Amino acid sequence: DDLLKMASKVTERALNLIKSMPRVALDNIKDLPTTLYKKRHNRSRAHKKRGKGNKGQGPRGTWDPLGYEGGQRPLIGVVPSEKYYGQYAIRRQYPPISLLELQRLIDLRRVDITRPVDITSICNSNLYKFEVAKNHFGVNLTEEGCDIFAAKINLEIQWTTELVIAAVEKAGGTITTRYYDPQCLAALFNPLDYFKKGLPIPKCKLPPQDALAFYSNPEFRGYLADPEKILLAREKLAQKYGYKLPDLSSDPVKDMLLMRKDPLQIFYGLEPGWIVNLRDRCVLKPKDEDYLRYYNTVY
Amino acid sequence: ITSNMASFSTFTLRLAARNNKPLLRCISLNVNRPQSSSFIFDGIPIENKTEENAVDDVKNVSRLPLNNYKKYHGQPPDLPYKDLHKRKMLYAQFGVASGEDPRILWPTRLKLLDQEQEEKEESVPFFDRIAQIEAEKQEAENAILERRSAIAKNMSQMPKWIQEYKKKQESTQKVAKDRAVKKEALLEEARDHFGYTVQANDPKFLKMVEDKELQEKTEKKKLKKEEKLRKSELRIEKLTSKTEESKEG
Repeated sequence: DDLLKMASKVTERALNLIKSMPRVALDNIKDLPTTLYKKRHNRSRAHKKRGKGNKGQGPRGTWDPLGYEGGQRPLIGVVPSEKYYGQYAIRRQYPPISLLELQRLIDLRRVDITRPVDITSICNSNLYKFEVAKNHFGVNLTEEGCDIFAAKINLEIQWTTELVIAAVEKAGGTITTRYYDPQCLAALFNPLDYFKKGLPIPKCKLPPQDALAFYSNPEFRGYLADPEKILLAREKLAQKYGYKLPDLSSDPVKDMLLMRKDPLQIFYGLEPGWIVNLRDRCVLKPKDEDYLRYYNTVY
Repeated sequence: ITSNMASFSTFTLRLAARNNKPLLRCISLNVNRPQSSSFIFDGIPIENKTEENAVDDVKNVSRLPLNNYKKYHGQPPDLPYKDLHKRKMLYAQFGVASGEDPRILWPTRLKLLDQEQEEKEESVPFFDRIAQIEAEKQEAENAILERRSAIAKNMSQMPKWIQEYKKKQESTQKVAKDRAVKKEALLEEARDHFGYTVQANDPKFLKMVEDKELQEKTEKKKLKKEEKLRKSELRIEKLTSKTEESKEG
């Protein structure tokens, strides 16, 4: 009843207001503030060609086909089609960085080895860059400097060889190969820029089939491989290259060296689905079960 | 009230100089001022937001356009229309102060469930994928082994096959050789017969060969007949001897 009374009061007031207002006319209405107006071209008789000039192909719309070079054999006809290069543009690329360069970064304290070193840490040194748009899928650690590498590091990279793994493990560190899909790589390359967009942290997809063989192989310390098989592989590698495998269990920084990310996780200490707000300096976490389920499940 | 850092530090410097006190080397400025409106001004606390806004309006003597003033002071702009993307960016930039609902930052429930459905449909179970890798590896190995065993099997049969081939070559060569020899003999005979070296394609020679063949054929037939006759005679003799024997026995 009270509600009805209130409603009638409101309507009465509104009607009275309208009654008191002047009649709608052209002089008391205005376009929306966001209305766009086209530039008003000169409507005089002098402007008749619509910016196309006189005669020729331009105003008559009879342009030659794209690539036509006036009869000269065009570029597409000159350069032969080399089928063996066909798929190379779309293959995954891993821009290289050598062990020597990494050691240099560590020595100059551009990379902090008291914490796990992953692709973000290496990119934050500003001496290594990759571009997602150019089909770059992460860090490829090369063998140069394998004989002088001496840093106890928890390293997470995207591609490497057996010798590099041996060099890192001989120095007392651990190494993991990890796959990130392009969306995650965009976030990893510059987390600050990513958080400034207000997007939720993405969940990492599993590698495609041809990469899955590599990332589930204990020989290459894949993140999807069986941890027990990795331990065996460590011992085998030490025997192959002839060094004594350092004992990790008695290491003071054991916990740091054994820190690993979940397969869906891309940042240490942050889960997929969370949003980092830099202005309020806080992390927003979803509570709804649908959202929690989506962001924490591999399908 | 935002603090202008430069003015604050110069003020303290002047104050210290006046009081002849030793100057602090590091001045910790209270940057994290509370956002709430309990800041004391002229001894009267400002309790509500409208009063604070009014105060802010009075303080704004910049004559700048509203959004320029806000931008300068790091406040969210006053926009007539904000689409979803714009609102998300405002929240990302200004946080709670933007006035937007933080829930817009995540995808809508419908979109989320759609995405989930798509992922479920398009994905292959992880262990199946691992099994497929193993299967492909095994297949490749098996193919190699099969090829090797086939090669071994064929190599073991190689001597036999080489022998057979040689034999076959011999036989064909022999046939050709025999033919050549026969032809030579005929030519010799013709030479004897005609008195000069006759050409192989000469009609005379060919006729001679034909006649010879006919002759041979008739002889053969005769021989055959005689053989047959002899054989039948032998058979009869055998039969008669048998009957005699049986009679005797």
